[in-house]
Amino acid sequence: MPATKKNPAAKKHKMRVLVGVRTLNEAEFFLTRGADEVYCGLPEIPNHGVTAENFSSEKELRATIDLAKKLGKQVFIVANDVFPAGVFPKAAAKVAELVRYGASGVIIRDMALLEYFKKRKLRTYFTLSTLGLCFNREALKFFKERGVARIVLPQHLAPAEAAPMFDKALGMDIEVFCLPLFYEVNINSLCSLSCPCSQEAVTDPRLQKAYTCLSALKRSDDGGFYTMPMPNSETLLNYFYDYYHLGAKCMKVARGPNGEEVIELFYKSLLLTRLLEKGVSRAAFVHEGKKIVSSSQNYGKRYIVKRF
Amino acid sequence: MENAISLSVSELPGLRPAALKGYDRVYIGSEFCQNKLPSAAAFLRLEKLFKGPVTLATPLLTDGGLDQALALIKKLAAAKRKKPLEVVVNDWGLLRLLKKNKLVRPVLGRLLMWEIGEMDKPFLNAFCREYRVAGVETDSAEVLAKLKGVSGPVHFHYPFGFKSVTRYCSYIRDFNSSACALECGPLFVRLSSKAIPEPIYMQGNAYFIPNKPLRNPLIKRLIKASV
Repeated sequence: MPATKKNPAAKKHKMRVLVGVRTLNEAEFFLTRGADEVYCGLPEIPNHGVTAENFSSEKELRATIDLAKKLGKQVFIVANDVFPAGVFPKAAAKVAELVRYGASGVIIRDMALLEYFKKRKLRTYFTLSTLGLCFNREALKFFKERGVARIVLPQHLAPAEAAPMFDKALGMDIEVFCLPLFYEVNINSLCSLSCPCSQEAVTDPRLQKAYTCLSALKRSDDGGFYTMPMPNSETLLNYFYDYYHLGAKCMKVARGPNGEEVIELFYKSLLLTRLLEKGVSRAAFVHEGKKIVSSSQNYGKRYIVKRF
Repeated sequence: MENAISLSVSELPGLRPAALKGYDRVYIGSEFCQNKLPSAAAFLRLEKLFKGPVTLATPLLTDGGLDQALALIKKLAAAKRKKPLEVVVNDWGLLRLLKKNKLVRPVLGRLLMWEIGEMDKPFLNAFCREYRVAGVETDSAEVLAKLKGVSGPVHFHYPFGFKSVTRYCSYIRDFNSSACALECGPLFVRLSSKAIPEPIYMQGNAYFIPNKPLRNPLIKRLIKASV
């Protein structure tokens, strides 16, 4: 595993923990158990989640903002899709309203939304979603010029490839997924293959079948079988180790319709993060990490809707 | 209507002029893999062979890939030609770097089609003016419908519509900034299973479904993938 050069300033820092939530109960659960930030969506604000990944009422979302303020924590509004023209004015106004109410920032993809805020002289902390396709430092500058303060690093980058983006002179906060536990087989914003995450209200427990990216596919050229490739767990543990030492500021636990699964993901991600913060060696991290992630990537149950 | 053919670098050795007959333009490079960009010499040879406009297609790029792509574009742009070099751009970082290069005209590629399809059109048109964008590309009827209101020409790819892409290459078992010998080749491999609604086609690190060329007043160029 090629080690990346460690950023000395990044050694043994505390990573902020961000979790996606859909209810006030979930927000309270995570914010009182180690999360520093939560992010929330509303169906009327275009975002990449299925409906069940959103709050069901704005009132509850505002109560979540109130709770976070009380706890000294942060709430981000997720608006990580391109806003279609038909809904843009209303949806953008809703995002602005929630920022004025006290949301700490907005997770975006749409450059037109950044322009909307700029024109109205509304300042907030913008995070560029992985869907925004920021794969190099020039792209990072492109978004910084438009007002983005944090990027969620694409999953399809090796640390050695992404290292230039961690240059402190660029002044961008970098958030990473806990890759050993959450890695998407294809580039998320560029994938329209058949998959439960692109469908609404999936209740069929035999969900595994619908994942093109996890299916064994018969090849026409040699008659053999093909499965879409991804790095193995050990590689992804090494990547997470490297990203921490490069100076990743925040670790993200993605939201999902299945609350129990998000709790499991949260605790495992938190364990891995705390190991890094203790300053364990790469070998020790990978050794312990393997035990923690051994039941990861539970795609089949991810899209079973369970609230708590 | 302009008709173009899109070639892969692995098709260049032994390419004959007859294979390009009937086309107004040739695309070379890749919208999906940064290892599949041609050398400057190969691009210039193709221009000489074709005797018509050649477009360089580029994918999402890592920092290393961006350096290589930029060096290639600088060499190509330095060659004398009647019109600026056309480059299909699928990376915001490359678009930023080309902003002031008058020898190059960027075209927004298919990886950005959902972004620009949904985007507020007055904003998109101002954005395209700012970056001197010569056109936008798609391969989807759905995106085409959303592009109504875009001020520039639309280019349409066929006979495959793009469905997904990974940077983790199944041939080299690593992200595709690592060295490779282009083992994937130009072929589209059919992949099927009872678990998926329809067969898909794989070329290198990208997946596709068959599509057909559309006729639409917005479309000013059809690009056929060489298969």
